Amino acid sequence: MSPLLNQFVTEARELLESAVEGLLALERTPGDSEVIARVFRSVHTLKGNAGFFDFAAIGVVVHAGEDLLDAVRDGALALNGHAVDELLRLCDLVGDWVDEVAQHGTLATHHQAAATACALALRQHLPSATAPGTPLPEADDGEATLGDRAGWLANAGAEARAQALAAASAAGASEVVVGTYQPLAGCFFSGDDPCLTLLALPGLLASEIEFAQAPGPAATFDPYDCKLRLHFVCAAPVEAVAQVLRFVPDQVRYAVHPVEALAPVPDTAAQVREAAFWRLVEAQAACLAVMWPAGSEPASAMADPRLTPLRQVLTRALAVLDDAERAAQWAAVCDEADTQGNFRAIEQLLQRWLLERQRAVSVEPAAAVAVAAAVDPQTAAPSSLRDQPAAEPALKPQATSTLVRVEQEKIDHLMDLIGELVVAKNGLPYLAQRAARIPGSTELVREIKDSHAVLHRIVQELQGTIMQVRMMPVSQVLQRFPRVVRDLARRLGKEVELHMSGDQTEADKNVIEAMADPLVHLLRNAVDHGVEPPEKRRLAGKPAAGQVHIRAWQDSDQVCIEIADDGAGVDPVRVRAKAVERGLLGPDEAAALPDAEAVQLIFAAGFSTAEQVSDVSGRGVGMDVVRSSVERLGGRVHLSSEVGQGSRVRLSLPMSMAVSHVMAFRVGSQRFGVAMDRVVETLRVPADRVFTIKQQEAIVLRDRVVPLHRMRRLLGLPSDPSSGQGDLAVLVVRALGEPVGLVIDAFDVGMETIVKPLEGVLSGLRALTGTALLGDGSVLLVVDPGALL
Amino acid sequence: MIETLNDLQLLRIDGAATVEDAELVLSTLVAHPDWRVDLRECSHLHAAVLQTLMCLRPCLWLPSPPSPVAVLAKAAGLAALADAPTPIALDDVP
Repeated sequence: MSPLLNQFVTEARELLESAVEGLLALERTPGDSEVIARVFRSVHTLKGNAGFFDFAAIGVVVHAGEDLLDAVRDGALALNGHAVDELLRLCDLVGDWVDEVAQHGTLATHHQAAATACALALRQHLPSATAPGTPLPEADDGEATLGDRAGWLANAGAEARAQALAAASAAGASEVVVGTYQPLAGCFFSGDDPCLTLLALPGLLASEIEFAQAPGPAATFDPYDCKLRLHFVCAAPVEAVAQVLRFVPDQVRYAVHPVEALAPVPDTAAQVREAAFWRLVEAQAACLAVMWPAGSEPASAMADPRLTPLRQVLTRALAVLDDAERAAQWAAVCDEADTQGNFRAIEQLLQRWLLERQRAVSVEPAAAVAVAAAVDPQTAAPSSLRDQPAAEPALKPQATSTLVRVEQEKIDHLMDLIGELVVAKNGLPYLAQRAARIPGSTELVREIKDSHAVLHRIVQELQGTIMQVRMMPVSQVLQRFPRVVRDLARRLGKEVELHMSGDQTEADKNVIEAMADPLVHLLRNAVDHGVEPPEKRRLAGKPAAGQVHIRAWQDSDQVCIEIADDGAGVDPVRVRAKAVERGLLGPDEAAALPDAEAVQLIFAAGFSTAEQVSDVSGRGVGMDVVRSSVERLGGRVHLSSEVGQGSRVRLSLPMSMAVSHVMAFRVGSQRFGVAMDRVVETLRVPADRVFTIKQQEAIVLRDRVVPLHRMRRLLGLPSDPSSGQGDLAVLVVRALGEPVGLVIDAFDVGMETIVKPLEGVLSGLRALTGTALLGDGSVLLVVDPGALL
Repeated sequence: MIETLNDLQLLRIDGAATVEDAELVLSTLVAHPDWRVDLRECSHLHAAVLQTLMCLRPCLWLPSPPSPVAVLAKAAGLAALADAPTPIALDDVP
C-alpha cells in the first residue's frame, strides 16, 4: 500500500470518528453551529481525500452527506433524528469501506449500489430547492413514456427527436438510454469535466447542452460555476452507460426506452408558427450580419433594396402570430431606419429578441433554482466561494501544528532499543565489580561508576519519554461509547444518559486498545441488563432515563475505569441459584458466600443471568471473557452491586505494559521471576506447619487453607536435599483466582524489567510468560503460575 | 493552447481547451465582443470553456463533424449563430 493511501486510511478513520462524535453531540444540542461546522469540515476533508483515489463509492456517499450538512449549516434544514441516523450510517458504511481499502488497497466496485442508495437516502432529507442535483426529473421505472417525463426530448421538439430517431435506426438499436446529467455547480473544482463525461458515453446518438439557469450578463459571468445541463440519448446497454456515469450517479437520471419513443410528437399549430417565426428572425439576423459586417458603414441603408423584403417578411410574420407588441417595436425601428438612417437599430432589435427568447427558454425549466437563488442568495452563490472558508480552518492546524505521524512499529522498535540500552547500562555495575578485583583500579572503578550514573540518568529520561509517546488518553476508546449507548438504547427502547469523566487519563496505547472490547461488553451489559425499561424505572421512582457513568482515573501505576449504572443491579440470590444450577458451586457453598462475593460469580465461565438471551449481550460468554482479557493484561476486574440501586464494574489495569515489575526468586541455581501483581505475599513457613490432605500439601494462612506446590517438582528439578528441615520459603501467588503457595529455594529482589514474550518454537511454552535480560547478561525466565499448575 | 491574434481579431484555441482557459476566453471576449473564435484545431472543449462560449455567443469557426468539438458545439447549439466566414489558411496566421 502506498504511503499516500496509508495516510488516507489513517486520516479517514480520524475524520469519521470526529464526525460521529459531532453528530452525537448535535443530537443533544441541535443547531450548535460550531459542531455543525466541525462535522461538515470532517466530511468535506474526507471527500477531498477520497478524491485522490478511485473510490467512487466513498466519493458519492460523502458528497451526499456533505450536501446535507451544508444545508444544515446554512440553516435551510434542521437536523432530525432520521437525518442523523442516515449520516451515522454513512459513517459506518465509509468506515467499512476504509477498512476494506486498508486491507486490500482497493475498493470493490459492487459497493456502488449501496453507495447510491445511501446517497439517495441522504438527499431525501434535503429541501429540494437547495439540493444542487435535484431539479432533475425523478428516476423512471421504465414504463413512463418520454412525454410524461420532464425530460429534454419533450421540450426539444421535433427536430432533436427526429435526429435521434434517425441516428438510432441507423445504428440498428431497438432500445435507447435517454437521460439528463446536471453537474453540480462546483463540479469543476473536483476535477469533473461534464463535456468529457458526455463524450465518453457509449453509442451517443444525440445530445443537447443547455443552461440550467440563466447565465446572466457576460460581464458578471462566472465560468467556474457550472450552470450547464446535459441531455443525452445513447444506443448502448444501460450498464455501459452506468459505468461511465459511476462517479456522478447523484447528478444523473436515465432510463431505457424503446426506440419508437423517440418518434416526434406532432407540435400544435401555434408552436409550429412560433418556431417558424424564430427561425425567420435568426435567418434575418444572419442576413444582416453578412449585409452589414461589423465595423462597415453601408452607403445608404434606405437605398438598400434588400431591406424591403426583409421588413415585409417579419411584418407579415408578426401579423400572423398576432404579436402586437413586437409588431409595434418592429414598425418603430423600421421607421427609424427609414427616416434617420439608423439601420443598426434593426439589427439590435433582432439580436435583443433572440436573446430574450433564449433566456425565456432556458430559464423556464430552471425556475426552481432561480427562486431558490432569490430567496437565499447564499445557497445560490458559487459553491467554490462557500467551500473555501470551510476548507481553510481544516488546513490551518496542519499548517501550524508540529505533530508528526509515526507508525506504531517504529515506536515499538525504538522502545526495544531502549530496552536493550537499559540492559547494556545495567552491565556496567558488573564491570565495575570485576574491575574492583584488579589491584590499583580504584580510579577506573570510580570512573565506570560515574559514567554508569550519567548513562542511568539519560536512559531513565529516555524511557520516560518513550512511555509518554506511547501514552494515549482513554478518550481514544471512550469516544466510541456515546454512539454504542445511543444505538443500543434506541434498539432496546430504553432511555439512557451516558456521563463520562476523566477521559484524559492516560495509559499505554496497547493497554488502551486491549481495553476497548471488554469495556464495550461491560457497557452493553449495563444498558441491556442493568438499565430497566422506562416504565419500570418510573414505577421504582427513578428518572425514566437510566444514568450510566464511565469514570477513569489514575491510581499510582494503575489506570482504573469504572462503569456504573443506576439500574436493577445484580441479584445475589439469583446469582447463587444460577451458579448452583450451572454446577459451578454446591448449594451449601453458595449459601455460605457473602453477597459481595456471590455477585463476582458472574465472571465465572459459563454464567449468564439474563433470562432472555438478546442479540446485544447475554450469550453466557460475556463476563468471563471480560475477566480473562483483563487478566491477560495484568489487570483486575471487580463488581459491586446493590439490588435496585445499580451496579458498578471496576477495571484496574497497569498503565504501561512495557516495564513490568517482577519478583525474582531462586530454584536451584536458576533464577526465575513472577509478575509482581500476581504475588499476594511472601512467607517463611516452618516445615512442621505444612500438613497434607490426601496427596496435597497445604498450609493454613489466616484461617484459610492454601495449597502448597513445590516449585522444584513443577519445574522437573531434583528435590532439594535440605528440604524438610528449617523454614520453607513460600511465595503466595494468585492463580486461577485463588491463592496458591509456591515453595521456592530463596527469594531474590523485586525488579523493573522489560519482559519480552517468547517467540518462535518457544512460544508454545505456556508456563513461561516471557523472558527478561538482566544486567549481568543472564536471562530471567518469567513464569505464569496459573499455567504451571 | 490559446492564442489571441489582435490583428485578425481572433481567438484561436489549438489542442484541448482546459478548465484554466475559460478565464482567458471570457476576459478576451468580454473585452472584444466582436472577435471570432477559431476552434478548427481544437480537440476538446472543457465544459467551463463551453459554457463561456454559450454565454457570450461569439462567431465560431468549428472543425468538421466527427470532431468531438463539433459534437459539443452542435449539442450546445453553438453552430447556429456562427457565420460562415471565408476560412483563412492556417499558414497565414502569424
